Amino acid sequence: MSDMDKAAQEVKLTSAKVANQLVQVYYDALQNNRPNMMNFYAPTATVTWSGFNYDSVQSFFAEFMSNLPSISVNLSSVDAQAVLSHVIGPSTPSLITILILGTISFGSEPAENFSQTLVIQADPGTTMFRIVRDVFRLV
Amino acid sequence: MQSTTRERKSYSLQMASAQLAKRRRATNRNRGGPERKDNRNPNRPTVRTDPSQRRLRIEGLGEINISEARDFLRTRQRTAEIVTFEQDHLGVDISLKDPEHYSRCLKLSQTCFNGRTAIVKTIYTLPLSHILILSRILVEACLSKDEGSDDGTNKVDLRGLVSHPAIVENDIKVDFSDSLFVTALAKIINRQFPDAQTLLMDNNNIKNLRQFNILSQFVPNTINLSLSGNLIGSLDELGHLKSFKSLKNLLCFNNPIAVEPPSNDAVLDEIPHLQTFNGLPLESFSIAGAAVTGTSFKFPENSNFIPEDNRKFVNDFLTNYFSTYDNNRLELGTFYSAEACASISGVPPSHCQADGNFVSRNLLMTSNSSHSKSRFDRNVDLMVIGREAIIRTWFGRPKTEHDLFSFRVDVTPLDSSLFINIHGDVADISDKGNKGSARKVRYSFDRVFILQSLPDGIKIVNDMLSLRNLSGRFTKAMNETNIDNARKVARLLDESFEWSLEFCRKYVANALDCAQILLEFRNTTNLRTDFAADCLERSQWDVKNAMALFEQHRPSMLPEHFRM
Repeated sequence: MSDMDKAAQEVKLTSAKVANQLVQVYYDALQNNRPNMMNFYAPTATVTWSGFNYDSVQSFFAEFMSNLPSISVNLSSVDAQAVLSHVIGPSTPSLITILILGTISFGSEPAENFSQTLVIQADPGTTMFRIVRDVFRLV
Repeated sequence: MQSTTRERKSYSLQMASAQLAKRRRATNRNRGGPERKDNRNPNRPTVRTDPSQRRLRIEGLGEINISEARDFLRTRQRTAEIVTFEQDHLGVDISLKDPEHYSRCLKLSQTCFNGRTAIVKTIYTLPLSHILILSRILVEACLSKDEGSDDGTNKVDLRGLVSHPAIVENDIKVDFSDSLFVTALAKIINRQFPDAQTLLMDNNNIKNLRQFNILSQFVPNTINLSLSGNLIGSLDELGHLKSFKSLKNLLCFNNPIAVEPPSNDAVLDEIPHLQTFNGLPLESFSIAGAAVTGTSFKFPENSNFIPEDNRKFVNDFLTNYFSTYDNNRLELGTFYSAEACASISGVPPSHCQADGNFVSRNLLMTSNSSHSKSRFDRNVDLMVIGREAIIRTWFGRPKTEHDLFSFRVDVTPLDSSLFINIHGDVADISDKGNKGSARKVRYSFDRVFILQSLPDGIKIVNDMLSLRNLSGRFTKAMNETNIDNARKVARLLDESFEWSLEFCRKYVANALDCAQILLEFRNTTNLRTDFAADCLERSQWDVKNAMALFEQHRPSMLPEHFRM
């Protein structure tokens, strides 16, 4: 395998691992530790929820998240790809797109399918990823 | 003397009418202009007439004493044509032309006038007592709102008006299809709450909205309207709300039309400027571009793209892409960059899983078992890299037909990339159906395209497709078919429409066949419909297996499992 192929393989694997880890922790926080959720988001992050755009994470949490009842999530599928123009060095992805499919229920309502896209970016100089774009839809 | 306010005021009215009569006799001719206020008693009502002597205006009354009012009118009968009683915020103009009209308004009877023609002005058309009650209910309802629930809009809360104790006690007919009632109510609202932005009209037995354009004239600033819990049966009724020019948000839960939620297009047909319906946005595109500060999607100087027109660009892009995908996969190369990546994940519907070559790239690893890890490692590799490989992959998949009308698209720029999220329905078309006709299997998908501006144009650099069973959430056509089938199934199985609709949603194209099988199985076993359906589902709709399952469980079944 050539060096380029090896690097590409590294990127694939790293992206997959990072995505898997983040998703586990994120949805755990969503269900069990909502006050902590803002930490997942970068300061410049924006959120789109069911077609509504929130310019800032603060407004999303204040106007919307705080009004939701308890949330229960079951994940069905997670996929992730690194955005190749944002690969630092040969093999370190810095921008990863995660596509999640699962079911969600609010309070005691029956569960519904949802699709969520989380775009995560590494803080400069680190391998610490934060969410910069969040797009959620009930499907 | 210690008189009550009421007595004091009616005393004043008597005084006023006596004064006027006296003055009239004294001068023996009509005099225009405002009459002098009686300075002796500051509580005395003021009486004004206009120069033509045709209007009388009596201000400062507390409660209207009907018999005093009648007497007063009698003294003015020769000149008065319109009499206005001002009471607090309430103005009642009573036409004297039609005795029945004013008697209805004031419960006056046997008052004669010499038939002078009157200008029919705005009249409340309801008995004054009813107006007072409605007015009071309105004020009480809005004052008693707990402060915390104030969302900043001026709220008029008429929920459950039809069953309000004061309404029931006084036998007031609250009928929103009666133009007279709606007019009166609208005027009351307009006087009390001219800036009202939120109207709550839940639970009022509202069947049609024909008179609502009257309401929109008097409460024109309405932004939020709630009609939940009523009896609105047809979507066309919503068309009458078009006249609410500022209306943005409409709630219509628990109405007959909400049993099968109408499609966004259908609602927008009726009220084109509406933004949300039952809490969900009506636009199928949401573009975060304008809202995102400090980032913009940059295209090369010589591109045809007009930055302000994100929506058109995305619309054209998606239309072209999916038309190519559906009709000529080999031409998809122009959409992708040379080093693009693509992958397919999700929970594929059963017909996809039957294709042995296809595995979902699911990176979800919830346990640390070695089996889980090795599956993870395999899935990591299931990504396709490079334009040629991607085209080959798509070429190997079944022929498709995308339902663009079902698409819901969210667009988000980030640095120099554009993220497009699509959710919608698609059908796989196989030509191995019965009698040589093509078979369509519908299902749903989510897809993320990441676009970047490259030297050779705007290209897809990442393509993530996720498959799942048909949700039909966004499909108008699907809903119509389901409704149609639900009616047939309800008739066939003698079950409720709601149950039948759920059934049809589950089995979609096969609903009628399944219903037939269910009917026969139910007749054979005499099981209750839902238990019969359960038996069949667990046997994958194989009647022999279902019978075996039934026989197996029969000894432990109870009478309530069977039909009466």
